[in-house]
Amino acid sequence: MSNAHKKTIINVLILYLTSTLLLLGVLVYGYYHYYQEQEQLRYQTNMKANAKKLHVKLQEIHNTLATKASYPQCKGVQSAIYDRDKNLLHSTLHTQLSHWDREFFQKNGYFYLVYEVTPYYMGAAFIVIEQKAPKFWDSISTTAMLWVVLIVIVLLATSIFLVKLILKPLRDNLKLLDQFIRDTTHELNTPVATILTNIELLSRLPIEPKVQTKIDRIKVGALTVSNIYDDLVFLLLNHQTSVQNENLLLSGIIFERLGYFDILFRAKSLRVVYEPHNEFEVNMDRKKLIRLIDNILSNAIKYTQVATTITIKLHNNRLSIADEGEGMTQEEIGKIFERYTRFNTSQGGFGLGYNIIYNIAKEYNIAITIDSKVGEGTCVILDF
Amino acid sequence: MRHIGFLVILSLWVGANNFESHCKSCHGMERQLHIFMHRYTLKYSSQERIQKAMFEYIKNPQASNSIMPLGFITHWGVKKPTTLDDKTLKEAIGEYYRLYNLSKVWE
Ligand code: HEC
Repeated sequence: MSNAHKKTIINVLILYLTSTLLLLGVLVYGYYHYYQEQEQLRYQTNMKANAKKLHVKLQEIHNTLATKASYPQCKGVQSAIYDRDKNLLHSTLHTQLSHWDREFFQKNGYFYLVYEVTPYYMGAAFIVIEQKAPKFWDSISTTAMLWVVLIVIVLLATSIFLVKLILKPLRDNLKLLDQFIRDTTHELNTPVATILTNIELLSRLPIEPKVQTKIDRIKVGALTVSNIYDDLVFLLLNHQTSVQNENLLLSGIIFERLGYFDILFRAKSLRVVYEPHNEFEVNMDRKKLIRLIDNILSNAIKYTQVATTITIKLHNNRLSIADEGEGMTQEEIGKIFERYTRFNTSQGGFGLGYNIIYNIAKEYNIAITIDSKVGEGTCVILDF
Repeated sequence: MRHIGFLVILSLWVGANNFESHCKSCHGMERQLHIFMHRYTLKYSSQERIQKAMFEYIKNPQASNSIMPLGFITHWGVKKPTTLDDKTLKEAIGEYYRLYNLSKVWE
């Protein structure tokens, strides 16, 4: 999956999930608020009934003129009585209240209901009822929890579906392009091979110099096509071919590739300076190393001016290939490794070169540095 | 400190004496004293209000201020205003409340 793909997916997911979760949160909060209010109302009515019961019991005790009586108790409910000046008369509360300004309130995990009564049986003007408030987790039923889990699952499922839906056209386009290239490649194989072998055969015959230049031009063309062909095959079959890593002498391979490109250098009157300071061996798949070097070289040839110099240096484990071409801006360098990116439309090509370079370098942990200035040229540095 | 403690005990004793000596002569019936206290509590609720109301009634007994039922008042009539000074009366009422108040009921 490409970076652009990932970005789109993440953006869509963030947008979708935050908006739906926000909505869900508001709904749940609203519901919970409503639920809480209902629950409190339930408690309040229940506690008021208890207060009334207590008042009746106080009346009974008062009317018997008893000199001793036990304070009326109700299971699970604590209470207290206060006189008209809010002095405590008797209490079984867990925490004593010294004052209150509301009829019903919650304090330290208990609900309190203050019930004002007349006449003052046993002196009681205020009856306070205390009842344990339900804990948050106790008040949420398992069905509510199941609903939340279900909704989150549905949300995730729809988000995955949504992302797929959004990415479908994008993916279809890429698939179409890949398919097209695959078909084209298949058809290219035989004609390119035929042209190249026949040119080789021709060069063994005695030929006039005039005809020779024309044959050279054909060879340049054929080599360019062959190069593109190799790139495409590499990209299309990259995951299917078996990797055969071996120790390769870098300077030797470079020399061989320079020979291969010789006719292309000559066609553009390019001067090639090759400075291998030392021998250096790399452990790589031969085909992949060749793709790596060929692509850098063919890019250099493609984007440089006629009759300039291409300098190749090999120093310790560092290979640098510099041209004197148009160069790139910083922004262009940033985008260069994306597939199908091509800056100079007049030069042709599929824009696959840098993508191949990037992929191979990544596979073998080779650091790539691109040093480029517009108007001065580009230098590609590989640290093996 | 000793003196203050002694004074407090003395005053309580004197107060107790006030209720015993100035009220018990007419109010010998325990039950009646309980009824009075229950009725005052039913109407006035707090200690402060009960004592204040009693004080005002005993100083100036009126049928309209009595906490007793109308039938009781019309049959027996209201009592005579007290001849006691305010301080003595207050102490007597205080002792009455201390002995008979309804908070003592709860065991
Ligand atoms: C001379 C006798 C007499 C003495 C002494 C006396 N009382 Fe009474 N008291 C009565 C009578 C008679 C009633 C009933 C008529 C009435 O309620 O006014 C009464 C009624 C009361 C009542 C009920 C009042 C009401 O609202 O009807 C209280 C309380 C009371 N007495 C307190 C006291 C106290 C306290 C003292 C001592 C300071 C005291 N009395 C001394 C004769 C007495």
